[in-house]
Amino acid sequence: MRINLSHLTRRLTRQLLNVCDQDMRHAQRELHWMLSHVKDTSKKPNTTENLTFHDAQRLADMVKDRVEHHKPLQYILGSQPFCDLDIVTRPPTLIPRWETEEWVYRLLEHLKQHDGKRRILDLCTGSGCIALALAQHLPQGTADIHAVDFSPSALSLARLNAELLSSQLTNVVNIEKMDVLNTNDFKLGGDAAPFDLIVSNPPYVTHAEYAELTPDVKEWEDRAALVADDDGVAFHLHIANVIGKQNVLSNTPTHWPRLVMEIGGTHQVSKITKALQVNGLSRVEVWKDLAGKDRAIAAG
Amino acid sequence: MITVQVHSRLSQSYSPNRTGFAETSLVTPKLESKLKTLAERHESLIAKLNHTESMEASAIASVSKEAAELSQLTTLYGEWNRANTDLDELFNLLSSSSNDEDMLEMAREEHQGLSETLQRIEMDIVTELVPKDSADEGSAILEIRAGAGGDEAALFAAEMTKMYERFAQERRWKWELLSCSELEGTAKGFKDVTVNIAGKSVFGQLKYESGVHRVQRVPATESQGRIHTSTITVAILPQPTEVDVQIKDADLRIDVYRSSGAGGQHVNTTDSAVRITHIPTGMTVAMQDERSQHKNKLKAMKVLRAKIYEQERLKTDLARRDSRNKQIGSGDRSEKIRTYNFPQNRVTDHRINLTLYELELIMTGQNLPNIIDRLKLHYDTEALLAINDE
Repeated sequence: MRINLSHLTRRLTRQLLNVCDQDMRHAQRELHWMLSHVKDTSKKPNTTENLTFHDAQRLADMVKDRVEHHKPLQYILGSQPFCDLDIVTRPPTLIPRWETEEWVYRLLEHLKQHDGKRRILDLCTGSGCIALALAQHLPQGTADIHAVDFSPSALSLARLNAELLSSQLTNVVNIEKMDVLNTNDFKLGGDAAPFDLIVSNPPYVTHAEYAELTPDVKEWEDRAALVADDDGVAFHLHIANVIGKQNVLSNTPTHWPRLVMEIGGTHQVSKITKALQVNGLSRVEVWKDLAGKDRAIAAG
Repeated sequence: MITVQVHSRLSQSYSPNRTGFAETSLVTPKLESKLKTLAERHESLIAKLNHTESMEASAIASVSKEAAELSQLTTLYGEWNRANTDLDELFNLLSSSSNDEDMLEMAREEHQGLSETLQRIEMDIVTELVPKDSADEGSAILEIRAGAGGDEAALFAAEMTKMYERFAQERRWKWELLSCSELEGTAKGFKDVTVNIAGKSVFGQLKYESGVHRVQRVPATESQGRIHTSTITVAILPQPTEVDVQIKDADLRIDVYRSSGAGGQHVNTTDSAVRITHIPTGMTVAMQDERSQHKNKLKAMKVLRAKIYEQERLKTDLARRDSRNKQIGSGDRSEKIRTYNFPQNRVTDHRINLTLYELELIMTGQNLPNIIDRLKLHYDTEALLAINDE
């Protein structure tokens, strides 16, 4: 039995309007992406006019998950593009955001202007997206990348991504377990060599903000990957302190940022900047995202 | 429309009249004298190059460069002269011999072959003489928009897209779909589609496709069997290099989805649409089909760059036309250029009054060159005549 697509898509698009700000074209695009996913993963051939009953059922279930259960589209499709990589996404690990992709590209522009070998640390790696993007875009064999997280589900997803994407990577990424907030030196496996670059997208949502988040974030993504104490800057301050006390960041001054951390907005800038300066990172820049929000802090 | 006459005469069948044939030539007496001058110039340059003892290195270089530029044309001019001499001999032979049927038959065959050779040589001469447009060699962006005629126009837009895609495949060009908005409810019609076509001479081959294309047929949805007329608009923009068009970051405004809240980890948006505005020109390009906002941005920049380049080219082109006080070729997007009549299996290009009864083969892309080559010859010849008049 086959289901006529034109009726089905019209009905499902209408349902999707509720999660797409009533924007018809946006709802059509979401459905188009789900339909492509259904066709790509289908066992039987589908035409432009019809779907098999089984595939139509799968599509309708996806829309139901999206609309009734607030499931993020990225979890439904199972992936999210990030810097030319298709990162596998799986609940509850944080879904890569476009804002993160944007500052990673900006960082890469800086790094590409200055060759040389680099030892890189990615704190709170989650799906592994930042570490893997650096491993793909930096010249072959120039980066020794270490990505850490505390959550077992994040670690296994990051390892899966590293394995699935290995053919596209030109540098090695080592994924290891670390409880960042309770570690005072960031040393890995007894290796005390300092890092040339530390990157991080740590949790930065405040407790008050968390209460207001929409269900597609709150009910699906790991709270531990989102919320931090001290007005959302607990991780940032801790990272600055460790850098100040321990020899974890190479001391050679550079023309490129040695530390880049994502932030939740302007309200976090002054606290973090102060902590960085106290701990010897004097050149501090705030990077805005395309929506005009303060999105990352880079220190040299 | 002098060139239309030239074309119809070119395809004229054999008539045993030497002067009659001479009239059909693309090479006008004026052009012939120009060719002669250029050939003599080439000869003198070669003579110079045979005695370089007293010449400076830079002088030798400039002389050999000029000689090289003229060499192809000189060869063609030589071939053209030879073919004409052969034709003359053929006519002499015919007039001196009796009206033997076998002889006439042989002469007919001979004439056919010689005419074709001459035609090819003359086309090559025209191509060689027409000023080169550097954009011709490069890639291009194709935009197709459904116009009047609702769903039927959207269906035809999709069929035309298919035609150009097959045409591109045949030439091993790289076809990259940038954006496509499908007709609601069906996947068969396109409201508009934008494609980047990368390869050699894409713009040069497709540039005459810009304009309004009209389709006449009975739509699948028409129950009364009436013929409808619908239109689509095609635009071909040359793809500039980074050197051709330099865009300052400060001149761009990039709009993306803005959440009412803090963004970042706080929201999980699927709206990856990007709109880029070039502030000095006010031009805007929006892209939204990719799930990656970054990819949408790259695509939008590609199209924006081509649009700015096109505008700059049109400006210089207009200035040139003004100084000449006449119009060369066609740049008007709103001009109705071609009709596809399905019941008659007919395609007519209105600019050159060319009608071909091979619609099906044209729609598969296979016979599209039959139109494109004629258009190219037409506009090249027209450009050449304009230069000669100056």
